[in-house]
Amino acid sequence: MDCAQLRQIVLSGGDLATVEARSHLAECPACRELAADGGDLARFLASAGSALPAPSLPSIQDLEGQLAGEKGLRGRLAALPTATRWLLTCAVFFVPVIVGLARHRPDIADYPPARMAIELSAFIGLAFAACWFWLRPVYRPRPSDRIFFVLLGVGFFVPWLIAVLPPAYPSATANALRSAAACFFFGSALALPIVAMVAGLGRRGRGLAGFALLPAVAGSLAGLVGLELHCPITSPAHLLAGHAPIALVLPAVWLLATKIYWSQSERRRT
Amino acid sequence: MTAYVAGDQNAFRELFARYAPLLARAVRAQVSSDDESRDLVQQTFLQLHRARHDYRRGEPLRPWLFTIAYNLIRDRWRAQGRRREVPLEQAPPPVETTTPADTLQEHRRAASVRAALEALSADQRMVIELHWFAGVPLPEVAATLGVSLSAVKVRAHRAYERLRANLHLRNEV
Repeated sequence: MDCAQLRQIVLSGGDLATVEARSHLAECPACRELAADGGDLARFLASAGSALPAPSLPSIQDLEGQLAGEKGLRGRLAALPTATRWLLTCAVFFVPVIVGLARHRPDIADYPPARMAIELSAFIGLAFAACWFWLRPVYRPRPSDRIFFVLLGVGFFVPWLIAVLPPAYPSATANALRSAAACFFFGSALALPIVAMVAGLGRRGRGLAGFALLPAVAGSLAGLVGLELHCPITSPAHLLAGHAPIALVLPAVWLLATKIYWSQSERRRT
Repeated sequence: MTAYVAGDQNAFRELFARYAPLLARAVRAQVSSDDESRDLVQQTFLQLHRARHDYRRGEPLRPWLFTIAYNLIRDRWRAQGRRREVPLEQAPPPVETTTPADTLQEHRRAASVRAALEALSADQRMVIELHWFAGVPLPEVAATLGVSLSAVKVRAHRAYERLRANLHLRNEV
């Protein structure tokens, strides 16, 4: 016997002393409460639905108008099947890897492979976790907000942590500021196509605060993958000035841009 | 839904006619205004439209719609910075009108139900709304909320206890 069958018995004033009913009531606290006092609460709830006024519905014409606006590139990308959206995301993630390998650091053979693997795995793993949140279909139950905020925090924190680790070996550079600026722009340029593509593939509208940051977090981490493969400078000062800030500046700029976009589209709507 | 995925616009109208009233009832109990409820129902169908190519033939559609709506409601609560919970003492009083006796009793009953539901926590209210007023079986409620069936039963049990206490206060049961 399940809850629905027991509910029917309670509502019809049936026999609750049968073996099946008693066994269900023994294991189901909800049904036990419902059946208490002769099932008065169950009868009240059953009759209450019709007493509640029917809420008004949105206009189907307005809705169809909104759906008509989904025919642009953004709408088409968002409407792709989730498997395709993931394939495109993985494909675009290859861009910084390929660029980084094509213009790889001269010391790539000397850099400790375990350390390189850990650093790349951290960036890639976090980037994919951000994409997982972003691309997750909204018809699936959403993971807890706490996990989301932990991911965002770790996504911001890890690049700084890696930057301050003792260098694998000392490296010198002629112009520290210039090389840091060059790395910052190179990494950001690698990140931007990923931010744009991942953002376009998302289906969510406004909503959870900070959610809009996810494409930028994923993109900036992917940009750092490219930089890790490309830049031979290992000094913490350089990493702190030219690499890690990508994970902060890009999401901040992106968040500002999305806020402006949303406020403008809100104004247009009203 | 299969017809809609294939591009039949009339199928969308049929889906809307079939599910929008159920959704609206479940959503309205979670938000503070009719406008907000309408907007959330509209956003739910917009999300359904975006996700239509993920749909597999034969899959039940109702859990999709309710999960979308529930996720959107959670986003809305978050944006508002709190869950909408009103202590019973602050809930609106029963509507007093000069209509005939049976209508008056209907109004009073509706007001009592609303007040008792308002006094539940948002999670408990969602379970009651989905199960009793939208006719969703408990396993489907569990799938919608992303929790186990036993967790839903515990929520239902606590909600029933609280409803019973609140309705006893008002001499309704």
